[in-house]
Amino acid sequence: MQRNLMLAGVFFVTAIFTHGLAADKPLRVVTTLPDYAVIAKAVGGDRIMAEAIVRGEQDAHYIRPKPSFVTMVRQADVLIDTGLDLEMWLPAVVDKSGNTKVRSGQPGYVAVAKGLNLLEKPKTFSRSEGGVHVYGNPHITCSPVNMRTVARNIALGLIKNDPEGKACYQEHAEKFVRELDERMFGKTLVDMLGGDTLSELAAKGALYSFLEKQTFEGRPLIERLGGWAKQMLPLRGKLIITYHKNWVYFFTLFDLVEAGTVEPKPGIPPSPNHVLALTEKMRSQGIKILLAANYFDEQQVRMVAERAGAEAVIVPLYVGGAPGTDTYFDLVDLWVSSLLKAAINNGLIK
Amino acid sequence: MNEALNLLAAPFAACLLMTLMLGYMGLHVLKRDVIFVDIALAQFAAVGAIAAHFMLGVHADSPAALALAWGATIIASAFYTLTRHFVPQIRLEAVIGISYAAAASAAMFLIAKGSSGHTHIQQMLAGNLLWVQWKDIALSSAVFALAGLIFWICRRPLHRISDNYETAARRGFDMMAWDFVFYALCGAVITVAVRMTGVLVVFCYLIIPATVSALFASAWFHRLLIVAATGAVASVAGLTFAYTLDFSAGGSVSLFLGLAVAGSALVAHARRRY
Amino acid sequence: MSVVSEFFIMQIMLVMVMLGLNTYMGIHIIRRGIIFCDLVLNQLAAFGVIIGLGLGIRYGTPLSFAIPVAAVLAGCALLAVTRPKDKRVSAEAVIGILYGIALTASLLLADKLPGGGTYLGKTLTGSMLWVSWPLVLTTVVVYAALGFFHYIFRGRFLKLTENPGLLRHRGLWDFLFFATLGVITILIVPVAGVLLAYGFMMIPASIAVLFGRGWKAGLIFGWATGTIASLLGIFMSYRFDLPYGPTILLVMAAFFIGALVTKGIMTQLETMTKGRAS
Repeated sequence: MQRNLMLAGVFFVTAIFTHGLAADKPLRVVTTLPDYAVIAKAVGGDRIMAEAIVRGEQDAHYIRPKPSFVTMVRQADVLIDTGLDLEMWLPAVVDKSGNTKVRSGQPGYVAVAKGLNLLEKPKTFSRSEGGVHVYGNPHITCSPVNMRTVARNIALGLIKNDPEGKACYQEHAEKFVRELDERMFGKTLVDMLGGDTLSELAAKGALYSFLEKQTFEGRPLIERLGGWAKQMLPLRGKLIITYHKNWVYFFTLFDLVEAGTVEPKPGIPPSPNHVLALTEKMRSQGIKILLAANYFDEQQVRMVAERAGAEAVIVPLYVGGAPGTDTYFDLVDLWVSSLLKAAINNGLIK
Repeated sequence: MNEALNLLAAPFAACLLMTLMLGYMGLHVLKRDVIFVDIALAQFAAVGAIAAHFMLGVHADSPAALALAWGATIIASAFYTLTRHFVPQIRLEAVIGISYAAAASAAMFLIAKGSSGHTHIQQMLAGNLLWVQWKDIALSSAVFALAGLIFWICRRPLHRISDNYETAARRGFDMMAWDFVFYALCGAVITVAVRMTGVLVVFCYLIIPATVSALFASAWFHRLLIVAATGAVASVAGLTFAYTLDFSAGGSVSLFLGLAVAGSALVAHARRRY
Repeated sequence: MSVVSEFFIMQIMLVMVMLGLNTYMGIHIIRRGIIFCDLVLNQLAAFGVIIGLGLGIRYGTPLSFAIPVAAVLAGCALLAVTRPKDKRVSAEAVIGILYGIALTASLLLADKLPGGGTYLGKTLTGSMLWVSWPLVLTTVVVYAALGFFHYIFRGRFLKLTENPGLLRHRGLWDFLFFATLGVITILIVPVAGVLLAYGFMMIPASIAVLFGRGWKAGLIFGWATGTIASLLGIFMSYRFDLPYGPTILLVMAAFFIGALVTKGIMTQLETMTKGRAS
């Protein structure tokens, strides 16, 4: 009896010890954008430590790679980036770090855009056209629907590097996706049609028209819409000028029309021709909103808006880019509320 | 510590190369009083490379880009030589200044018109010193060695011309030929150097160690020693500064070169007083 | 008035007002051989602008000019103080180093500011796109005042350039000369950028020096050619969708090269005909 107890005790202690060992070594995850870091943390929970290289108020195009990045990447088990041509400075950092397991193609590397249907793919491959992004628009974080794929890709990446946590990662990822869906479409429709279907429609920009046509129990589905999609409904079809082409995926979801861009190439001042044509267009078509990420020169953004008789809506593009945007949900909330507020201010909606 | 050494090894090697080659050339440049010619040449080399990238679509590292960049400096040198000879009514400095501004504007023009936005002005000015690769250093070493060899072979006539331009002309040196050799060599060195560390950093390495040496010595050999010392110390200080405080590496090295010359000027001034 | 016409009228007015005094000052600069001083002052003004942008000061307010003023004044002082008594280090070397330091400072500061990368480009290529009526008005008033001042005292400034030994209170007039340069720099650099500001100062003046016999003829010729070149640049930028500041400068530079070539040919022809005559 005593011997059995002792054996049990030994097993017990060993079990705790080894479990403790496994849990004691969290996976070190380094991401480029802060959005990926918060999602990774949501998916990975206590099994990982996540930190982002880019800060929320920075322009991911324009990062001057610093030595501290090299240190971060060197110690990373998993490296997460968009996987398109947004973070062009990353390969040099990875090279210098000497960390071979996070190189592109290795298991430690996760490209979150994998499997996403990209918009604005260039038709010609001419460099002289100033082809900004060759795979398509890389600013995928502006769409909550895209982030579902991001979360799932991150889960896959984490599983590859920590197979023991598979169940944990999958469960958390699906939980996150579910929350995204409910915040996006409202619980009712998600229960009825499923998040995957709704998301596919929204990503194509076909959500509202589908919901208007389909009926259930005599009422069009659109009356059961909730979440951000419902909040943004009054702005459907409205013309908005963006400062730079950051917002394509967001606009597609909510059926907003991007009537022009101020600075087509990041950091390059627009030509007079372009600016004059744009301001004329804004005045003549009554376009009242200029949407800009907060990493652009605020004075310049406000000057353009003033010239065109419009209101500048300046919001952070990434998580943590402004106070009160510590989660992805807070971030999207801010985008939605800022746009609605400006629209009401300018008489676009009641 | 190990990490720092790992990261800074290549940049430091690049800085040492610059110190030795550009520093030496700077002694000539200072004596000939053609300081702004060299910043103009550096800017032309930069435009040449940018033009090759955007108009021919070649990679900045390719031989075509290097050839175009060097070609740009040769064209500029030829332009200055011809202007000096055929249009004496205006000071050459005015021509150099305007051409420098024009070359810089041409670079901005190309960056704006052809760019995907990934070429930055900071890169043109301060290069990518922290991320310089050993193969860049190998290429630069080869070019510097070759140029250095030619400088060594031709050291008598070149030194004599630099030491006293007017006297050499009277002595019957073929000025146009030797000037062309000098500027062609400078152009090649500058082209390759700008590729590694950008226009501003090249200019600082060219002119600052030489000026410091001129404040304290007159013989070529002594000046060379001071040049090497100044460059080495400023490079180490600058790179360390950039690493610990997260600043641009090229900019930091220029900063410490600037501090070095400011400090030296004060010391030299004090020495004259007492 | 359409937005487009308003834009052109503002730009034309600005350029025409600017180039008169600039050509005059530029000719003085060339005659005195202190050509790169203007580049140093421009870059220092740019450095001041970046500091202001970093502090969030709204461009166009009096405070936004205060910092560039301080930077430029410091530059003037340095230029005066560091005139080397040493024969081993030339004045040009000193000016070159000052320029290098000013540019380095701008680069490092822009590097540390969030979004600073764009500031550096902006101070180099300017923001002439955002020229406004208040700016044009201010420029007209300031230039008128400076122009009037320099007209009244033109004799003194002429002596300062051509025969400084004979001028009483030379230091004072020297300071006033640099102060004028400083004021111009501070007004123009935030708008036109370092490079174009330098071009506005030097190119019409250089063309004047090449062709003008005597001050008045040179001044008018430089002003006229400079204005035509600038307007052509503005027009081309608009018509062909080209970057603004750089296009204007490149067109002006093209005019300058044309002037050089023309003068060179003219000189050759003169020597050839003279040779034949004698």
